[in-house]
Amino acid sequence: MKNIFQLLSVFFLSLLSGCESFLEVKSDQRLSVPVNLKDFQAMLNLDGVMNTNFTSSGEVSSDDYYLTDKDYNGLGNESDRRLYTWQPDFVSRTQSSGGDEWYNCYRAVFLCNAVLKGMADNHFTGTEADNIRGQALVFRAVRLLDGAQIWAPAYNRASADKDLGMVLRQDPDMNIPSVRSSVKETYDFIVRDLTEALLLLPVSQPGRTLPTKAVVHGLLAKTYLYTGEYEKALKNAEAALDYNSTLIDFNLLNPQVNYPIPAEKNSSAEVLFWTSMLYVNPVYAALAKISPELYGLYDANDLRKAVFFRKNADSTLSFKGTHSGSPALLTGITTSELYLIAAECHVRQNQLSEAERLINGLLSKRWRAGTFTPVRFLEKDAALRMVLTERRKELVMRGLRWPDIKRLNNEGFNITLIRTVLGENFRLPPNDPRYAIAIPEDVIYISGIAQNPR
Amino acid sequence: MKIYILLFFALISARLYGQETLKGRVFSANDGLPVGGAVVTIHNGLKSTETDRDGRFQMVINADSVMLRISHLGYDQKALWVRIPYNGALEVYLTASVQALETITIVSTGYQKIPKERSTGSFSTVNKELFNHQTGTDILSRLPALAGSLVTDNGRGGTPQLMLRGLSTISGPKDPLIVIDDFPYDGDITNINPNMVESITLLKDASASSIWGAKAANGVIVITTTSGRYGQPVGVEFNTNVTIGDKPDLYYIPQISSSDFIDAETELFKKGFYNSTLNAANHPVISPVVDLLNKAQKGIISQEQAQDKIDQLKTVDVRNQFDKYLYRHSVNQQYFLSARGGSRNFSWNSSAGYDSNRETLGSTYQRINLRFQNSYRPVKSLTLTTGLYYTQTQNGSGRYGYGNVAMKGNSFVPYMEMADENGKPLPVSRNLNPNYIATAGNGLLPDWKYYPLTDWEHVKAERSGMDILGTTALSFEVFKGLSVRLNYQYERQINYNTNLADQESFSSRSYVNQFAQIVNGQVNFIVPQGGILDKSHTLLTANNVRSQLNFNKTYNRHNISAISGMEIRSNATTASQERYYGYNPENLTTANVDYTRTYPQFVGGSSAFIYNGQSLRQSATRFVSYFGNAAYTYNKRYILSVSARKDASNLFGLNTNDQWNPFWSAGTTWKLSEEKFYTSEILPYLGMRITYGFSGNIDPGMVAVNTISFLPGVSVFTGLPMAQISNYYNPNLKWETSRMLNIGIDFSLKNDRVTGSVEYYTKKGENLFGVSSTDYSTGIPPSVLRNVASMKGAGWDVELRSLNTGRIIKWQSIFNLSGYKDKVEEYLINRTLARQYVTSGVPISGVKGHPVYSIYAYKWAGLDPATGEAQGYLEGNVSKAYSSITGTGTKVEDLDFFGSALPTVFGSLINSFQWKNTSLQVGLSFKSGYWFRRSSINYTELFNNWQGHSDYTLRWQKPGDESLTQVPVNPFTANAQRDIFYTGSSALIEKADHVRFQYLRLAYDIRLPKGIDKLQAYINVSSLGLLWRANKAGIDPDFNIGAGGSTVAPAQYTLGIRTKL
Repeated sequence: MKNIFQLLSVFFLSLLSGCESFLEVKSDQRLSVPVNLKDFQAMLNLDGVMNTNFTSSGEVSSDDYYLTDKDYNGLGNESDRRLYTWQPDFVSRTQSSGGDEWYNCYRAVFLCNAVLKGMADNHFTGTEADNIRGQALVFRAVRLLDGAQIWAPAYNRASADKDLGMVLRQDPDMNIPSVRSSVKETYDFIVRDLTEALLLLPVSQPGRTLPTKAVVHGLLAKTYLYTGEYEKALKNAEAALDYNSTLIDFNLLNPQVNYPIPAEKNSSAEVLFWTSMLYVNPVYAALAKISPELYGLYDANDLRKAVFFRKNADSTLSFKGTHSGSPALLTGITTSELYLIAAECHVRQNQLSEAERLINGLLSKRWRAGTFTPVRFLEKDAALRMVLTERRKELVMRGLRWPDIKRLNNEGFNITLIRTVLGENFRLPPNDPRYAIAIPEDVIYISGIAQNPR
Repeated sequence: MKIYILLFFALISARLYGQETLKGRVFSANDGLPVGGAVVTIHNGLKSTETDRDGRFQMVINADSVMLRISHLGYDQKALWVRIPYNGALEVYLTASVQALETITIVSTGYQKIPKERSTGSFSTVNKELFNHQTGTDILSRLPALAGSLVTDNGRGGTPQLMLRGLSTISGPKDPLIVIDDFPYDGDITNINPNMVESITLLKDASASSIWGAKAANGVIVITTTSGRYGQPVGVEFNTNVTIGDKPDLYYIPQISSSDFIDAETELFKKGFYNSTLNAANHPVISPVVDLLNKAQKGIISQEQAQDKIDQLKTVDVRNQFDKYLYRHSVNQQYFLSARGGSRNFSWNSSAGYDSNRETLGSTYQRINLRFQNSYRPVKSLTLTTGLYYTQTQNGSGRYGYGNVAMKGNSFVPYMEMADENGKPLPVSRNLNPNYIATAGNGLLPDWKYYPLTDWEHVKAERSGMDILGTTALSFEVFKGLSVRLNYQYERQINYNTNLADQESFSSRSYVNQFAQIVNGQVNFIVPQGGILDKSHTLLTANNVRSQLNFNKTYNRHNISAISGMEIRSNATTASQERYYGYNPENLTTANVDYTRTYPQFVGGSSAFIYNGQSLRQSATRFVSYFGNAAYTYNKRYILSVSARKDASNLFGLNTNDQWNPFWSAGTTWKLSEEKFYTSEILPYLGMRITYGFSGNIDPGMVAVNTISFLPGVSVFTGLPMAQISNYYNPNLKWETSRMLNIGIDFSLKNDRVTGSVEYYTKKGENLFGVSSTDYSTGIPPSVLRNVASMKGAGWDVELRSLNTGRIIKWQSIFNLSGYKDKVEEYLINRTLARQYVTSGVPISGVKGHPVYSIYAYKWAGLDPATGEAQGYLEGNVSKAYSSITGTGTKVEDLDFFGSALPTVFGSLINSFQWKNTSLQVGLSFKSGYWFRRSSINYTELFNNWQGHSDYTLRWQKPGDESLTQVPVNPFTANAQRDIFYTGSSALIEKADHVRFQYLRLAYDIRLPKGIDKLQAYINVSSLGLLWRANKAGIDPDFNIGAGGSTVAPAQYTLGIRTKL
């Protein structure tokens, strides 16, 4: 009897001691709590979230394209129709449509914050850790920069500390309430993230979806262009071009194919940083008809006329000049954009010959060989207008027209947008509050943050 | 099984005739234990004796042979001829009488088998006879019609699920825990042959189920299988039946009429709606009518030609073709043979089953079950039981049914022509413009057409499964009252799936074409022509070990019965999947493709990888648990019980320290009728029970930290592995807990004319997990579960069994009636969007005082008399601002509240009639006190995705119609918000109450000469539809999945024979 009890107790005890290791087996081999550097890098490698679904609301609201009345009527979402006609409210797609741009923006911000917190909690150091932290900072900054163009007014030095900017979340904890920062705080935050990342990132990465030093310079150039700090913008654009200044010669392209700009791994040779915008109605190539006004800006010898645009059977125009080898619309940094930023900044600092050199360098690759006569900049204002026109012509469907209209109106360019839909005229006068698009009403209601002034 | 035996001694004084002495021993056939106090008589009662406490007796007999009769209260009398002198000691086994079995219900918790009257918990049992009222291949589908407090929830969208006493909100598997004999069954429950079922016990309250810990959160169903008995003569049973099933009623599907659909298309065409589709560079599919209209407009065909064809198409209803060419009656065959027997220290039970089903679409299912079970008792204190259960299954795919065929996305036009007048297959165009595929590739590419009628011949999906379940149990009695039991169970389940789309199949042809490249008139097939073969395999291995001490001791009036033990469970699954291109079944060759680079797509030109179809999975769940319970009984009338359990698991993301979760329960029973003062003759038996318990819910998916899962492939851009978040960091996450109080009264009327129980229970749930509105600025998707609410619920169960008439016709009834209501006590999320409560899947209600699952709808202001548009309310005013109404313009308080989405009163009534050799059983069930949302026309879906609805024909068309219909006008413009409003409005809410005719069974016992104990022929009819419904829309609320193609389960007719040798 006693022996049996002894046996039993030995049996139980041996089971107990084995418990710890028995229970340490992973419940799903693919699951893990991110604890090592490879895990955090893998989170940032998720290009389907980190690099896609940048905002298209700006492109939808801008004037490089239009919808036919029939296509307008065919839009499935009332919000798309409202956005297209610059309504003050209910312009966001629902969360369930996958097109909630606010969520798409902050989903990536969350991942960056989760990575940054994990990196801090684990006290990682070294080159690889720096690289990962740098990437997370850049991904966070680039989302906020993208969002600021949609939901905040243009950067205005006089009112930037009062104008409503983005929600600056720095912690992955979902229970922390959201607060809107000022426009100034938003841009300061972006610059701080990018500046820190510059020290952390390497000069090359395994793919164009991950940021490098050149990408950070490019993003800083873009940011400073928006804040009107042209000297800094120029410096950074040039620094980025030092790493890569490749331009594709459009003379070598076959404009007949579906996507004439050649792409390998979804990127053309001009792409420094690959990010793309939400590709839904109305920016679908089949729907978005290129405005005749824009098309009219190109010279007959400008190869972009054929490379960028497809003539439809009904003689309307569709866009096909993507840098992705697919319908995906790139919003990332390309060399051509850096050329144009640098040229604009030179002009603004009255360095006209420098600007000339850059513009001619770009256009010589865009015009039919032998037909291009280099441009001459004689006077600052005319030069600026020319550079800005070239900027518009080159960077079609890149999500840049909307922020450009905003910042240019802010300095008095007086661009008024007009649409005619079903016989009704819609106008968006310069500096209208609607240039800061309504934040989804759901978010306002649930979080209690302030809506943009209507 | 335990049988109450009165033990007493009698002194036998007998005169000795001095001839021969017969020595014998009497045992119980049920448990092999000796039976004391049995009366043994010879010579028609002239001489008798009684067995002693070891079951022994001896008699002196003065004859050559003698008829021995052995009788005992609680056992069937046994008579046998014995030749005198008898060699050795005679062994006689008595079978417990049916009467005794009925009055003493044994309930099994999986850990112990106890008489129901000795427990404090709440149990419902279904015995073999009741269970076999119905026929069929699987077990669980029979239960809701039989057992009280169990109901199938079909109302909230998704897969119907079994609910035991309300729904737990856990996000993981929501079905109750299924225990087979001793252990939870990890394999596919459809592997178990229903003929093996001896009884089923439902553990309803905290006291009954707490022994299972967290897994019992959704209730526990214990299935006890048949087993051999000691000393039982060899018995053979055979059961076979064939079930013929009706074809499904396709006309139940609310499909838009072809003529309506074509009229709408014609109008849209005139408005230019299809222009962008017709001009799109990627050649999307257009419907046959749009094609005709387009060709007529372009002058390719004449207007008359187009109109003639369109008029003909208006008369086509694709359902006729599905019904005529694709659906057949289903035929299910079932054979089951079992044999069992036993000697004094050995019992065995073997069975073999074969099921072969052919469903209405020709898909097949075959199952072979083999089972061997032995119990060996070399000495009185030691029992060794082993069991082996083997299952082999084979599934084969069949024809395409309604909903398996598509032209665009998941839809087709209602006038789709799959077959010509002679039944010859006709091609339709799928996903691509028919004119484009006619010329694409200039004849260099494989045919790009789709043949819905015959494509299934080229797509074969097969699944073969094998499951081995081995059990062994060793039980040792240390001393009287204390025993040790060790159980081990091993399970291995392997499933192989193959899916072959051969060279002729649409999916193979289409995929090959998408990657084909034509350069200078030469075609290069990047994906080679041939079949596409997908293979996958899943292996599940489960180990369960349990050691348990059982203690049972009676001192005078005190009885203590206790168990305690520990168990370890591990369950590992590995799975792999792979794909082959260019598969040639003739010589088993496949072709190589390059997965590492992208290729331009034939249509559209964008670049894409070839899908590599490979994935590997590995998962493991492990549990270590300690458990115990104890019951103290005083004087057979007062019982006190306690139970506790602690579990630890490898659930992800938790520290080992946090993994231990305690659960407990306590209860008491008072048998009033045992008291001396109790003298009621009307109610000779009366008892009361009260229990209370606490448990919490574990869901492996719910952890407070971020967890990630790696995607199967690598990034196209970087070639690096990618991980996505699978759980979101939430430091405020808490366990979902639940408390249950159960009060029950058991009673029986005089002569057991009516026996039954009435129970009342309350439930309190805190920190319930649910989906709630999230501030998207956090970056957290709306599907993330958080603690959202606390609830309070209360319910009652009445179970009555009555013998109504017993003379010529024996008429018995079983009546189960349950009520359950709950309400939200506290909602933890500050602000929540109204829109979220107006969806087809019903989330946890955000309004205090309303049922946890409630039906809400947008307030409906009827149709605009001038335009026929749907109208709602915004800030109290009639409005058509759909974006605002479906956006933040409507608050939860502004919604119409109807009531519960789950049945609040439900039950079943089973009547059995027996007249001579004929018996008839009729089963009805009913659900009431709840609501559902029916589907209707969604114009945006109609225009863009060809998803129509028969309500279209009822739509508003001219002023005045608004008094006749609630269906809005067709505005010929898409507007998702408008359609979200209408489909979520009060106009579409219906009462769900109904009475269902579950089954009817007619059996006849054929009287046969000796050798065959029983030969029964039976007819069973099931799924007979509704006897009554509250809604006038003709909808069966259990089959309300909208226009997508769900039909009501068709009626099944079974003919069978059951024999016993």
